Amino acid sequence: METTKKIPVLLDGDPGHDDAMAMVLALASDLVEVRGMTVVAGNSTLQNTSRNAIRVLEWVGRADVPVCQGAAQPLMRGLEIADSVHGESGLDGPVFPPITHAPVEQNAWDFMAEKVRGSEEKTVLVGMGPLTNIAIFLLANPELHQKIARICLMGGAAVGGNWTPTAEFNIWEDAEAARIVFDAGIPITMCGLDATNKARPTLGDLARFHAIDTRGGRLVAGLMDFFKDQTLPGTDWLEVPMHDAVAVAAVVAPQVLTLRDCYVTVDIEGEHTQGCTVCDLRGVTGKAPNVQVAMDLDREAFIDLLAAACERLK
Amino acid sequence: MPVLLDVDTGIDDALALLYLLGEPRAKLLGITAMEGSVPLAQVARNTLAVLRLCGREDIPVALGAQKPLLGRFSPSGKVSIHGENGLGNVSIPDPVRRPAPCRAVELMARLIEESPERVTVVAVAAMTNLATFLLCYPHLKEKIEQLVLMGGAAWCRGNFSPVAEANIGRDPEAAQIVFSAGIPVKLAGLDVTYKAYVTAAERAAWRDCGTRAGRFAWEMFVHYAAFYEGAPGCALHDPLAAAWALDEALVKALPAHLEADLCGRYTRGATAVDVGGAKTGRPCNALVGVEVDREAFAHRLLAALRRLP
Repeated sequence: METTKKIPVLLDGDPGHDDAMAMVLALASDLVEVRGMTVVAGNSTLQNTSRNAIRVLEWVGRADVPVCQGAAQPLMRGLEIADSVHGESGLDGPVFPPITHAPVEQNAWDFMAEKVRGSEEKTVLVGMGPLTNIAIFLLANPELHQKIARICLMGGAAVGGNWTPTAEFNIWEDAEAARIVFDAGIPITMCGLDATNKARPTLGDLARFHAIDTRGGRLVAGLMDFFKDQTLPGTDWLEVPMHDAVAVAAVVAPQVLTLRDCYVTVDIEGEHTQGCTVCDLRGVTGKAPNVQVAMDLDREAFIDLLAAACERLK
Repeated sequence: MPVLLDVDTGIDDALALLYLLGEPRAKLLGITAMEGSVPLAQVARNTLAVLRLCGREDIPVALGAQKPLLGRFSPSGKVSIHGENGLGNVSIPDPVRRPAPCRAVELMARLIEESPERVTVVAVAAMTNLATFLLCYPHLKEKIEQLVLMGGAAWCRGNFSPVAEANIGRDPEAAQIVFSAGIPVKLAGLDVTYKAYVTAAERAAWRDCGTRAGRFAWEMFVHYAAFYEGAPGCALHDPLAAAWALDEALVKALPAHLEADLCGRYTRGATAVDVGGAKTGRPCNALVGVEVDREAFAHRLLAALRRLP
């Protein structure tokens, strides 16, 4: 049994600029112990997201964290990548040296099962991409559900969407997987667009990160630079939010979020609402809340949190 | 032929199992079980008890899903054709062993990995276990020779909803994952399984064939046959899938593009069968059974029951 005073955490994502920042936040935290990173296709192909995860870990000197590959496509649909956001490599911008490590020869869901089973404390899963890997893990291991403390995920929205008018990308990409995860009966913190759209650095913040002369600071500044030419009209806010980092903030600094208990399910077949996280904010269904929904984010506190993490990753 | 069987035993599941045990050309590697017309614990008990009856306690049984991939099973509330214990209320000795200490998908993976030859999977329950297996172990797809499935209703009415057959209707997402896995599928749906009936006289021959298995099969079907009063015989859905796995020629089938409907207001769980892919232009992923050589089928069943203890 692995024991630790820290919260055991498994990261699952599709790096991805904002995934990379989420990884920085988790790796720098004294509160959590990152026991592995599983990757899924989403922002980019599985091949790219695997390589990008390893790039980030090697960059910050944490190649000891095992990387495992999971699903190359959603449970039931073809893959649609978000290269319009993250570029051809899925992590365009910084120039990374060639990677020297390889993914572990184990499926993501088998790796998760091994880590969750082998941990004395309950494990927190952080979902930063489509929920395909986590759904397969949950389907295959019903007896391990009780050993999961919480699933903190970036996905969905109480209101609106970013990939369709009603759906956020991670949930839309694999709506069936999201339905499986939300219905599993495990405590969930959903960091959706309501909060993550606030996770936008300003050009001033960007200068602050450039001034942090650590491996963490150079990585995050380089990632933000990729988006610096797109600001919200009339503001100095970068247009692309650091969505996924909010899911890690929910674990390491939940005080930066305004959380609300709510019943949530995922629409999988709506003509216009595929992948919509249907949040019963007014309690009209009478169903018991199954999700903590992040309704708001303290932007300044969040930026401070990320900057402090960068300082620590020397 | 190495065979894996996935069941929710069930009267006709039990007969499919008896057939495979008594068919010398089949090598039954293992059985996986899921919740069905009776709870999973009862499915496990029934499956192990049938194996004990046949002296085949060497065959591993592992338990799998208790609910579909999405959502939950909704209880039908109807009187089950399978009886309260799932075996037509026939009493046979309890098993002396327990299911294997691993999950259904793990057993499937191990047996398929260890088999020198490609394995035939016969699935006669909702396809939840099979879909979960395919999601978990995509690299083992190439070691599956064929999937022979009892399920679907292409051109006849359903038995789960007006248009859906139960094995598909209970977990349409699982069925769709299985259909689209890129493995050759033989679909024994209601179109052909209702034609695969046995008459009262043929069932009497099971009783009189001199084996305990034959007698047991006959007893179970006393309950089952009551639901077919007025028909020439009772349909053997699951055994037909098992028999078709061994005998290509037993069933006349049409190559088709096959999908499970997931979203229809009235058609969720229906099988959309496009013969030759003519209407959709999509590739054929299945052979959909339409006719059966009924007498040959009945003959093979009896022969198998005769070979058992």
